[in-house]
Amino acid sequence: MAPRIVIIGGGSYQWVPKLLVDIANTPALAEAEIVLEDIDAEPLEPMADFVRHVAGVRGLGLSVTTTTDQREALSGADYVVVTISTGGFASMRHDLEIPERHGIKQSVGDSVGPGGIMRALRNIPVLVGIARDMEELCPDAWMLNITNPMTTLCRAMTHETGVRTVGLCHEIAGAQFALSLLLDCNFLDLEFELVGVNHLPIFTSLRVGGEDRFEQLRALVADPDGLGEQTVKLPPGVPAEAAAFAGGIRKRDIIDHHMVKFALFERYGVLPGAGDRHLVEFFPGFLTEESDWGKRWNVALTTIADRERDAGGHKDTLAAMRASDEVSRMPSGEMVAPMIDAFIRDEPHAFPLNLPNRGQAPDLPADVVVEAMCIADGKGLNPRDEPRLPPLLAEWLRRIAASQERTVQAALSGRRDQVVEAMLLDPLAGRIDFDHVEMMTAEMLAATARWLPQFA
Amino acid sequence: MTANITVVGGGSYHWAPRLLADFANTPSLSDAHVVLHDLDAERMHVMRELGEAIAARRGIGMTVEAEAGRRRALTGADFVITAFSVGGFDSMQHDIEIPQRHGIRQPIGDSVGPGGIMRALRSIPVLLDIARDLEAVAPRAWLVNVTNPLTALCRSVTRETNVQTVGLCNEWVGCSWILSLLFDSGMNEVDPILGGVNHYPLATSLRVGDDEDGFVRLHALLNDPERMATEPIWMDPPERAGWVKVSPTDYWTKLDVIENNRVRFELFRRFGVLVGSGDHHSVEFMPSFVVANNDYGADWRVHHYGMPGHRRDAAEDVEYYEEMRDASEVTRIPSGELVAQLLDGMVSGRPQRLPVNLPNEGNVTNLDAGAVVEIMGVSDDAGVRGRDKTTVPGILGEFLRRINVVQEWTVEAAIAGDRELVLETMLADPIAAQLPYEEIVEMTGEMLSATARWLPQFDA
Repeated sequence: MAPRIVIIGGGSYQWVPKLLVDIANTPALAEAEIVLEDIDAEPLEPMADFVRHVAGVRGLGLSVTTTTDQREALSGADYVVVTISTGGFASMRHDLEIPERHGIKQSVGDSVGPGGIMRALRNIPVLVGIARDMEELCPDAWMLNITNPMTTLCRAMTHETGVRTVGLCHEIAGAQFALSLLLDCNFLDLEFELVGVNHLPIFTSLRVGGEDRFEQLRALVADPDGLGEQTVKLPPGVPAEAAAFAGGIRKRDIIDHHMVKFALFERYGVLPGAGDRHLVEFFPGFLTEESDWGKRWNVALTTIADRERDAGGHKDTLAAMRASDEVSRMPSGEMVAPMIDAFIRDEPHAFPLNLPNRGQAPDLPADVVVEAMCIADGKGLNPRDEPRLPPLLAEWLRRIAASQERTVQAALSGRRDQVVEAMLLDPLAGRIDFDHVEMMTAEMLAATARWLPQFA
Repeated sequence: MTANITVVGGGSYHWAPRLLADFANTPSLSDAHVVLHDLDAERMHVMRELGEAIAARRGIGMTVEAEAGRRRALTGADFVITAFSVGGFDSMQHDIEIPQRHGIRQPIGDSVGPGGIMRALRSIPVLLDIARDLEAVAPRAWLVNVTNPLTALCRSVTRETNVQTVGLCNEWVGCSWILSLLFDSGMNEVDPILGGVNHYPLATSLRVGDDEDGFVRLHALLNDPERMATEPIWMDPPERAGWVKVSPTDYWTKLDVIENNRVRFELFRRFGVLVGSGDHHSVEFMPSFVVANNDYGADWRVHHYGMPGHRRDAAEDVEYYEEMRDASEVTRIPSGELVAQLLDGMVSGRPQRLPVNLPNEGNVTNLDAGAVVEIMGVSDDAGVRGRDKTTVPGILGEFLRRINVVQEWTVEAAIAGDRELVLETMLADPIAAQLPYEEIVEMTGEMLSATARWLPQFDA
């Protein structure tokens, strides 16, 4: 039976085209019924048109419908992909600008820190609304959340609703790719265990063919000059598009662009697996005046102007894809289609997934949402490993988890004092004066009040 | 029964005069046999003479002996008080000044933070030596530790030995005085349920008098600006408290009490938990009060002791001793320290209620079993035990959990003599962790080198 895949936020130029191409590249989903829902009708038609184009080029039985009615979309859904941004750039601007006035600069502002906390407050009620409709209209469906901040959003779902929820993030795939280039191995041959929270997942082991590769990595990182002008060697079988993207890159440039994760690797012996721009927001010592606000770590602060430029780029990309008479066969790195595929074909496959802790993060409290390797198959999702972290990182993650738990409570209760508490517990937000934390919080709540009905 | 009390660090200008006078003022201890032991033989005899003079002036049976041999001093003891400082000001100076060069300003530096961690590294091996001697020569004695950092030190003994250990600190006494000013009550009329660690004892509820809810009274006062600004307090603050007069009245008001304990009452107002230690201590347990953008606590009226403060305290201790030596009468005013009261409960069998630092036996649900916690306890002929069970709610509970992790690691690092563990402990400390990693590495290295001669366990 053709699965009904609903995309809430189906007008997202950034996410939806990638997901659609992945679906087209997944034989088990060739007949899927795609439902695109968005509160903004404008991008829905171009998106639906793209689905029809892809189906035509590939000769697939994909069908597509669009709607701005969430309940209509969710009726009878099998999988509900959520990719929303409550308030968009207009709200995000305050996430960055207000903390900056209080001496806190953020590189992204979408996971933790003042920006991540506020974004959770805006998105959680919307997600709860989706989940409530799902409980009624498609109680057996999976919610596949790709919206940030992923950890707190997924936690709100599992804390507050009965909807089966999993968070999917591509950061591990990105790290995996960079590592495969550094270690001269095939992307898919890397074996690893990992544990953490979203945007701070940590590889606790790394092997190829059963053999440890941390040692080799440690040597490379210790002496990047020793690499000279050496460029990456692409193993045979790498798709042409990837080869075009990665060919000719110097290995030492890769190391330079992952300075933070390799510094943490050298310090603690385990390797964080998200982009450096995310990692720095989890620790107080990187985005500092001394480091010229991250520059010394090759971390740039993503501004709203950057985001606006990227958004224009996403639109252009879709136009180019629509104009082409070919559909890329390269996986996007997003896990939505592969995971649904594993469910449908009952073909066990391991993914890094964000799920409530049922033992896959032995260093963290039960039930908080953690990122770790899990197996997807016909029966659903189950954690695969029980990796332990070095004591300091374990403690650091417990502190992050405490702030995230408070964030979820605040988002659900609409209590301002709990927002202040989440900020005080957060390593980035909590490093300024106690009163300033409250002032900053009050300013952020006021500036974004129209997206925070629960605080009215 | 004659109590055999040994004081290790018995030449201390601070502790010896206070303990001896308190013993003299406590009927069950007035015939105690007190053994003073100190590395400083001269001071030990100075204090012996003081003790003998106190006994003679009072005509009590207390006997005082000075004993330079530690094992001999401990042999046969019922109670062993440990009051020492390894390296004194020479070492403490590095605890304060090295972090300051890296941008960390500690109001005191004797409990947690870089200074508290280093002080624990120096003192733990010494205390453990004493405890191991005790296991051999007086295995049933109670070790009563008053040396800072109290929590880490007590924990090292309970972790490594079988010696019965209790830590005592008078910070709650100061808090009960402040509450008595606000409630127009006696200090002994306030009775908290405490759940915390030393210098961060957290009251989760409070009874005043027979059955009144102190927190309800406190909230009512804090919500009534008119009352706060006009109601007088029953005694003026002593000059050495260094309080600033804030209210416009020509007498001290309750507002002045609150404004000179801003952190304590702000935390109470927000979180409904009363911190039982002075602001200068408690701010070292939390990340947001001593930072650059509040002028390192100045906005909160946090008093920075610094080395001058520590030296002033020491000078005052000498004066206190001299006054006592030269007086014809023995003071009847209690010192405010809790040692005599604790011992009185065990010697006389009359139960005494007081704040104690003991291994957690479910008393503070936020912390693991075995962690040393500061709670209200009872001492009587059965010994000392915790009285209450409580959970510290909200973010103060999380701050408590975080700091206790640091304390557990401090103990671990001190025993192992492991530099990497010291670094990790600093990296987890809320105050030290405000610095970038490289800076923490540098600071830790500098502190270890500067105080190396007091850290034999890190040799090799």
